[in-house]
Amino acid sequence: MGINFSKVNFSYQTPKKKRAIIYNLLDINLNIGEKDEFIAIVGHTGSGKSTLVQLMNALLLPLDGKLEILGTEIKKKTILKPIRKRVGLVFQFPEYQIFEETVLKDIAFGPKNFGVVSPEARAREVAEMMDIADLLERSPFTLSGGQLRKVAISGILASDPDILILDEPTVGLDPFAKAELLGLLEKLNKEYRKTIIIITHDMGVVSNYAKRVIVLKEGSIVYDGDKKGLFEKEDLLKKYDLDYPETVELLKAVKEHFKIDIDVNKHSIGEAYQEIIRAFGEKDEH
Amino acid sequence: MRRMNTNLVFGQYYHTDSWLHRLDPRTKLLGTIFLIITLFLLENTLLIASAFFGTLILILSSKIPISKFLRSLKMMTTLLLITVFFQVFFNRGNVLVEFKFTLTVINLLIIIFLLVLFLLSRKVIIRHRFFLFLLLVIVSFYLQTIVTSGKVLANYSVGLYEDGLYLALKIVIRIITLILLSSLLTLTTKPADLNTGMERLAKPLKHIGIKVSILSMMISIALRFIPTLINEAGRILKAQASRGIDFKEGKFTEKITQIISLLVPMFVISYRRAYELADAMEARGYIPDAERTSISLLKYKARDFLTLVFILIFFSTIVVLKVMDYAI
Repeated sequence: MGINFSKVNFSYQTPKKKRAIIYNLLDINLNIGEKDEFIAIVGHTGSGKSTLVQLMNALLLPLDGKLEILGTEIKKKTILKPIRKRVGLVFQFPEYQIFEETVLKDIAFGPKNFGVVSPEARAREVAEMMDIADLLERSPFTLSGGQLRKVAISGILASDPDILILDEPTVGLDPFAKAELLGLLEKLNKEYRKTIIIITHDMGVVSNYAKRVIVLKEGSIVYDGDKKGLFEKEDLLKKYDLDYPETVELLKAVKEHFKIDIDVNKHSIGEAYQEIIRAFGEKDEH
Repeated sequence: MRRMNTNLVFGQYYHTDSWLHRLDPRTKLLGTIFLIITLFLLENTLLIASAFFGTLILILSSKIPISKFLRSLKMMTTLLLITVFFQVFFNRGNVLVEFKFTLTVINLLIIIFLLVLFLLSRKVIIRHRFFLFLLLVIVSFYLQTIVTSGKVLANYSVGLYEDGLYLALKIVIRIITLILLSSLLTLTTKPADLNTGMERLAKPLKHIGIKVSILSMMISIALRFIPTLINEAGRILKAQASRGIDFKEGKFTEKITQIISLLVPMFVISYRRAYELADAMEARGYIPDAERTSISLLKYKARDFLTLVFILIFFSTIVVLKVMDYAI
C-alpha cells in the first residue's frame, strides 16, 4: 500500500519517433507509506519536484514504469477520482483555486465532488481544526493572504485524504502564519497519523519537521533517507544544489572562527544554543 | 527543464535570416494587404493559380520549413472541406457524374441498425470515432445503390456539377493562398515588431482623435499575457481536478459548476495581474498620453522601398486592368 514508484519515467513531451525525449523525471524508484510519514522533497528549481507530486495523485501519468497508488496501478483507463480523494494535493498558492461565494461552500466543494455524506458538516469540522471557524460565512475574496491559504488547505483536508501533499505551502506567509501552518501539519501527522509530503526550499523546515528527506536533482532522486544523514554530508550545496539549515550555517561559522570542536549538526535553535554553550564551556576549562 | 505549457508562445515567429525577415514590418504589413486585395480581384483560374505559385516562391525564399505553413493550413481544413462541399453540390450546371439512390424499407432498416450499432459501440471502440462515422455514411449511401429490393420509399439522385467543381477549385486555391500569405507575415515578423509596425502605420489616426499608442499598448499587453493566462488556466484545472472535478465527464449541471470553478479563479487572477501590472508600469513612469520613444526604431531602407514600389506597381496594374474590363 501507499505510493510505489518503480522505474517510472516521465516527460512533458509526447513521445514521437525519431525524436530524443527530454525526460523530466528519470528512473524514479520510491516507496511512500500510507501512514505516519513526514517527507520533505527538496531540490533546485526545475529539478522535477512539482512533477513528482503531480504523479502521486495521478494528475500526470507516467510515460513508462509502474506506478501504484494505494494498491491501484495507474494506467490510462484507471478511474482516478477515488485516488484523488485519498491523496490530497495542495498546489503552490492554493488560494487561487477558491471560487465559491462563501468559505464554507468552498471548503465543502471537494467533499461534495467526492461524494462525502454530509460535506458541510465535514467542512465545519475541518474549519474548527484549522481555526478558521469564524470565517465560514464570509466571502473568500475579503480574506487576507494567510487566511486564504488556510481556507484552501482546508478545502483539500475536508476530503479526508490519507496522504496530504503540499507544494511549497509556506511561501509568502509571515513567520507566525508559517509556524502555525507547519505545527498543524505536524499535528495531522502525529494525531491523525496521516502521511504528509511537503515540497520546500526552506532547509529550516526540513530540519525541524521532516522525518525523511527526498532530494531531486535534474529529474532523478539523488538522496532518500533521514535528515541527519543528509546534513552530515559534506558539500551539500555543490552536490545537490541545497543550502544548510541556518543553525548549521551558524555553528559552522562559529567552528571556523573560534577554531573549537563543535558538533554542527544541530537543527533547532535550542539545540544549537546548548551546543555553543557546551563547546565554549569546554574551551574555557582548558 | 522544459515544460510544454511554457513553450506555448503566442505568435508563430520562426527565425531565419531571409530577406523577408529583414524587411521593415510596415513594408510587410502593407505588402500583405495589397497582395491579398489583388488575390481577390483576380477571377481567372490560371491567374489565381499563378498567384499561388508566386506565394510558393516567396515561401521558399523565406527559408522557413514548409511544415510550419502546413500547420496553419491544417487548422483551416474543416473550413475548406465545408466550402468544397457546398460549392460542389449546390452549384447547378453541366452534370459531370450523377449518383442515383433508392431508399427502400430494407436498406433503411439496415442503416438504422448500423447507426444503433455505431452508437452502442461508443464504450468499446473509443478511438477513430470520426472515421468510423464517415465509413458509416459512405456505407449507407452505397447500400442505397446496391440493395434495391423491398418497398421503395424514395428515389433521388445527387449530381456532381462541372461548374461547382470549378468554382470550388478556385475558392480553395484562393483561401490557401490567403492563409499562406498571412502566415508568411506572422512567421517572418515578431509579434512585437508587427505591433510597432501597426502603430506607426496608424499614427495619422491621432489627428482624428484616436489614441494609437494606447491601443497598441493594449494589444501588446494582451498578446504578452495570453501564454501566461493559458499556464494559469492549466494550473487551476489541475488544482480543481485534485478537488475531485473531472473535466472530461459529468452531467450538464456538473459541467456548469466545472466551468465556474475555472472561470472565477481566472477572473480573479486576471484582475490581480492587471492591477499589479498597472502599478508596475506607473512606477516606471508610464503616462498613457505622453509622447514615447520606442526601443525598436523602424528605419526604411532601400529594399523596403523597392519591395513596396514593386508591389504597388503590380497592384495598380491589376486594378487598371480590372477597371478596363479585361477578363482577369
